[in-house]
Amino acid sequence: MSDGEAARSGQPRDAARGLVDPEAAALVRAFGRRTPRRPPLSAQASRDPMFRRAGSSFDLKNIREYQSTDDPRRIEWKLEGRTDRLFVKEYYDEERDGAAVLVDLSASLGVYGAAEAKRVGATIAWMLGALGVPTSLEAFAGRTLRRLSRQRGGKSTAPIASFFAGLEPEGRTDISAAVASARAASRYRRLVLVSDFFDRDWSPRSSPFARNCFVRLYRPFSDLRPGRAEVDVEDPETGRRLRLPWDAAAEAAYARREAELDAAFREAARRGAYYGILRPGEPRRTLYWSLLEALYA
Amino acid sequence: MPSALATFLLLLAPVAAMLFLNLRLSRRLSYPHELLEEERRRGPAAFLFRALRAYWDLVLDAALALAVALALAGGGAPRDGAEPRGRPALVVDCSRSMLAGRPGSRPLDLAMRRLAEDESLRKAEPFALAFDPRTARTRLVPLRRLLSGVEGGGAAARLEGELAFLAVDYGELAALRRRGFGRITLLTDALPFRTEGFEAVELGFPDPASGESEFAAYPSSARHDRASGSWLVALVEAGRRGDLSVKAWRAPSGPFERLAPSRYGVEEGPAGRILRFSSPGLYLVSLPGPYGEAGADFALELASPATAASAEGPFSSRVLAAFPYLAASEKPELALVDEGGKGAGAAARAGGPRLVSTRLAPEDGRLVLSPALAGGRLIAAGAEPEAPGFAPAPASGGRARARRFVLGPAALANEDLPLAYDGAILAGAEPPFLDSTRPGEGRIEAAMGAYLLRSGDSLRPLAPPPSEYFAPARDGVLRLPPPPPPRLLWSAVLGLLSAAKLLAWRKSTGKRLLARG
Repeated sequence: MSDGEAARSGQPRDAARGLVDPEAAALVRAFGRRTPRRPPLSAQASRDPMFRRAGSSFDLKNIREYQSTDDPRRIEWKLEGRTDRLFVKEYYDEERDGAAVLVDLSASLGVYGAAEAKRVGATIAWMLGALGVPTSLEAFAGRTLRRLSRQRGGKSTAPIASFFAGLEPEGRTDISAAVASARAASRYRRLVLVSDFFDRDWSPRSSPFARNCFVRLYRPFSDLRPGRAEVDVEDPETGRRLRLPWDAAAEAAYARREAELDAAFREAARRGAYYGILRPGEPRRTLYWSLLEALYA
Repeated sequence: MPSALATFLLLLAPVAAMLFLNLRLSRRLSYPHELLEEERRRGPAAFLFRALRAYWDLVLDAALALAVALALAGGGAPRDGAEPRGRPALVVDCSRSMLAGRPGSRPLDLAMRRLAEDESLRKAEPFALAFDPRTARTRLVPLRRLLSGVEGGGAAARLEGELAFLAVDYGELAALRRRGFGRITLLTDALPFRTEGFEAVELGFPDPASGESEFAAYPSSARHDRASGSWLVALVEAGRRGDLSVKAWRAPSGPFERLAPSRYGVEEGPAGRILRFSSPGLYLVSLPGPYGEAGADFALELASPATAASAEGPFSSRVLAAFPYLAASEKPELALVDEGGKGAGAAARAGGPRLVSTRLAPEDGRLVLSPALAGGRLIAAGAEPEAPGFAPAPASGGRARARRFVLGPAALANEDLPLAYDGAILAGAEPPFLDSTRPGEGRIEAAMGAYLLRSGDSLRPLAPPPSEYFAPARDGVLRLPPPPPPRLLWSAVLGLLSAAKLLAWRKSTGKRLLARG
């Protein structure tokens, strides 16, 4: 199957099939069939504003004189009253507003699983492109490792496959720098941030994007089966070693910190951000769908 | 014993091995530290984990090894030559020799006077080292309770009334060490050995030769005189010889009754008087001490020479027929057996008859019998006092239960050979009295100044050894062991360390020490 055929069929190309989740194509097709008149049942139930308010955005692009080809309903009658001339306002097309997709590939992602982390990031980026969303895909750690801009989106997986080729978790996490860099590099107002969020210097509230989607790749410490004794833990980013008794007190402290981190994201979610958690090996279909819905809201 | 350092290093070897294995095999986890930073702990676990954090268990193991090494090396025990720690103890020797001498100057009197007057001995815990007739063993009797309410010279009289003055086992002093006493002082007359580990205050043996005592006596032998058909008891006497009296045991259960002078005779011998009895029996020879000195009473069992015997084999049958005092019996006291016969096995059992076995060899060996056994004659034959496989002789009797002769042609041709069998048979006979007992061998009864050992139906005379009547020669050393190391201290240390380890384990794992189910 050529890239073109793959794009037409909506299936990721074989080379990229290992990188993009196989259910992504079906999700894109289903999301593409979605119309305001026939919203998904879940959207109806939740009275999603996306399906109540279709049309252009409110972002003003231009004011120009009325032409015969224009819809007379778009005439600005207040301006006509002041100037006795017919004007129409042009707005940016809402659906053409892109998204910055940031994929954390710092060394700590090795704990979650580098291959799975890249697959999540690649799948999200490919789905947005396949839905025609302009994307700016960035892989970052302490700095931006690689950037791929797709102004018109696209169903081809080749650019995404080549983007992630050779990238391995390395360096320390600096989400603030990555987000600031993405904001400066594009005028997209939506952000999809895929990370484990092990960065104390960053807070979800500090994002400069208007619409934020946080996908947290989280592997609990208990998954490593630390046992019930002293544990020697090496930080994959700093190389620092920590030896501590893994007892009930340590477990409680870990749970408390984890709850604090989770609460910060849930607070952001209450303010309109999207927050989803993925654990290694968990099914991701539900998260992908809810992420797309959040992006289109 | 290896030093504490060597023991510690030895015990530390497994700890070091565990440390090495821990370092080699420990699993290092990779995880961001954001959620794992150490919590500020509170309570006892805080110190433990901050101080010993990484290898607390191995540190505690090393501490346990150190404690065990110090305990094994006798840590806390006094050094050589140092005064042992613990309360001092004062022991008064209550053997028979403490009663010898003139009243008031006997070693027992001197000891009690010293006990009452010596200020340095006041702090010491007093004991009496005495023979317990009920258990037939030496024991330490606390004196404070025994002498409560007694003043002045009554203490010695109280001891004489309460305790049996026989021979004592000085090794029992080691029990004081086990009980935690430090310095031990023994008040005694004279010891037949040198002492180490305790102090002996020798108050002097009242010797008739030096004028400190007027008299001493002891039966040196008691035997049947075949020539006259009577029994002879030879006494060794020193100093003044007073009148002696003889009593005979009224069968079957006593007591002793005065024996008519016509039934025994007294002769003068080279070392003392010789008593001649016309009939066998249990006699009591009493020698009263002159001028109020303690007398000497000796109970003697003079046995009939007739011995019930059995013979198996042609040679042993001829031996049985050769000795007129051996009477053939179905329940023999003595079994004469030719080697290879079935009677040897029956005789070998404990409680069975004494055994004299004979093996006839085709050739002469290179051995000759002991002159003591052969009456001074030279007889070329082999002999073993205890044939292998036979029950050992009781310690108190000191007799050989079995004797084995190996006779070659020369021995058989020797006309003095019957002397050897006669000596072997007589050597196995019961002694006239015992001078020692084994603990638990029987119950000791006092009988008019003498002592009798009752064991089942048998009644055996018992007398202190000669060293209680005559000054003993000094030979050998009695060494008391040093005080044991402070076991309680080390036990507490080991217990605390073990508890700390358990506590740390519980704190680190969160598990209960005693799991239910």
